[in-house]
Amino acid sequence: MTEVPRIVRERLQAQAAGEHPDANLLSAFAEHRLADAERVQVLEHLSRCAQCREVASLLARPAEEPQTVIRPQRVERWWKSPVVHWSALLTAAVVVLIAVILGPHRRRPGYSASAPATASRPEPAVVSQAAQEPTSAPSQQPPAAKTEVRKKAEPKTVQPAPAPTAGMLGGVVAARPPRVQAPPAPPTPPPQESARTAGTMQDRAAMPAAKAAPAPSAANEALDVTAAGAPQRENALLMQRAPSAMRVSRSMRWSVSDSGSVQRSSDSGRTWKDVAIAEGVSFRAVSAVGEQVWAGGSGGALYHSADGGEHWSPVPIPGLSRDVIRIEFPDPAHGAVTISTGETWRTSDGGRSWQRE
Amino acid sequence: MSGPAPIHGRAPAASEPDVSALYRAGSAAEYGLLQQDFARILAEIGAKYLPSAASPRERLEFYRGLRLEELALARGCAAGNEYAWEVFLTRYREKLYDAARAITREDTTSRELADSLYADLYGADLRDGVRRSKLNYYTGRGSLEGWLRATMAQEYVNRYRRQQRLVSLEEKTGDGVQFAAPAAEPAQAADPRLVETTDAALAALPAEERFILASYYLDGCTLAEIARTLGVHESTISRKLEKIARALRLRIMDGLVQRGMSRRQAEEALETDVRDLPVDVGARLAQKTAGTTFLKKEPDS
Repeated sequence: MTEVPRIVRERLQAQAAGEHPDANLLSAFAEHRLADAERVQVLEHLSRCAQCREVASLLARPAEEPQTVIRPQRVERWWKSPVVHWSALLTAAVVVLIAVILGPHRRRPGYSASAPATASRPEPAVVSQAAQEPTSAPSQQPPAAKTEVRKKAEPKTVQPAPAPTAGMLGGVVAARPPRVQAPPAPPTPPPQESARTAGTMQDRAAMPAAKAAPAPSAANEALDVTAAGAPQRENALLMQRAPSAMRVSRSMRWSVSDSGSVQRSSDSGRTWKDVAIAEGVSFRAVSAVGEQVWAGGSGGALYHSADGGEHWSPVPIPGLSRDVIRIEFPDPAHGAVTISTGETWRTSDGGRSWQRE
Repeated sequence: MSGPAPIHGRAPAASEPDVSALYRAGSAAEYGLLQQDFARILAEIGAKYLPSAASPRERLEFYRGLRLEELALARGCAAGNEYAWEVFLTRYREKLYDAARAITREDTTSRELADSLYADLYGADLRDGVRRSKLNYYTGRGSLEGWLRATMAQEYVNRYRRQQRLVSLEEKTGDGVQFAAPAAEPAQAADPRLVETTDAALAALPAEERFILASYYLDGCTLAEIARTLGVHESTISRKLEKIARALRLRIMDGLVQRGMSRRQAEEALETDVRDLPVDVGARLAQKTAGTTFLKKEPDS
């Protein structure tokens, strides 16, 4: 690359910057939406202003650029390797299964303690949780016990996503402010979780602040009073206002784009992909509880997927013709769909039947 | 859901086009905006970016080019419409944190940055008991997401530069004002012809080429970064840079010769170490604070 003389650099740096373009122009510039004349004006300023060049450069940086986080060296701690974890869990499950099948050992006092023997391996929280379950059903018949055993495996899938219970953000960020509050970080999530759309790990840090906020029933007023009365932690106020959302299903997240597409992220929100559901529908709301995903939009369109968004089927609700603007499913069976007129339809059987409120 | 809370404002000027179609296209009613409110918003945006002599048709074309739905959403949020906030948070909360991480490349700082922006968007800043939301400044020229990123990027750069100024031992800083460092004693008088010729050569370059030069030689940006900013391929920037550097050198040489230097003298002048020149670095680095609106309206073509 031909170098330029130093005098050129000096004189480049010497140019007066002038007034700075605002965020509207800079973003439009970054998105190549400016007319030629305006673009030249912005470039003229950028050629003189290092600060705005830095902003423009940051804007051009892709949002999904991976973080430069130094990950812990897994090699050094082999016992924390996922392979070891899963092997240990599998071993524990097999041991328990054998113990159950053999029968005579079921009533051994140390039955529940036998699992903890393997709990000394990695993931003690999960194993101990699994170990607790047999104690609660020592007298159950084998089929139930097998169910218990199967259940033990479930936390394994849940563990990586310590999503809290009710109130996770769904598509159109659900509940009105008074109703849903950002849940506290729960130590053990229940089997059925309200895993609504999009949330971030970081929001967990804000949860204690939200928890300390006024009661949900008065959240609205408290919000206003608080905001008007004294400077508070605005993010805490916003956490109240933001129907919980943000809870961290670390794996799958759902959102709706501004162009009306339903989007899914399987890497904690770093990248998003459009999910093809139906042509001609502008989606406005999405809600997910585990693999059960609901999406609604223009013209009363409502779609359901039972496999995490791989396949979708329309859900006709008689009388539903206006845009679906909100979907709330705190659990797979109970849900509510609200349309643009404010009317709400509820289901208590997973969407098989609906009643208008 | 309760009815929309209207925002009352002045009626649009007579020269303003009929915006009813735009009002519908932006779904502004759902975000609590009356048509007259939306028309007023559009008129304010038009007044900011359009020449005063723009015809109604030109205004309409301009308005059609805006991100109407996002504009209505942002202004609905600024007005405190609950539904608008729900939609906003659904769409942008995740992306905002992601964008903050992309800017800061660090979790803690990104969270602070995003939370700080949220406070401004919500309108935690109270003046005379009225909550002022930063969303009132969004004009729909670019996407709302892009505007949010730009706002965060500006804040981040401001904070970073503020920290840099604070640690400087040779400069005094006031609120938004930066004083230049005292100039070093010149070791050798600079040839004014060199400075003059260089300035003329740079002024003759298109703005984009000067931007490329500044990004590469002053900021140390990579070709890929510059290409991303300009929306072109990296190889395009590489070729342009090479071409600009060579042309610039020739132009300066010719300029020096025209100003009475011989070729040999011109070459020597170009090779002179700038550190020997009486360059007032502080003055060179002085930047004006963020002033009022930047855009200079182009005269009607």
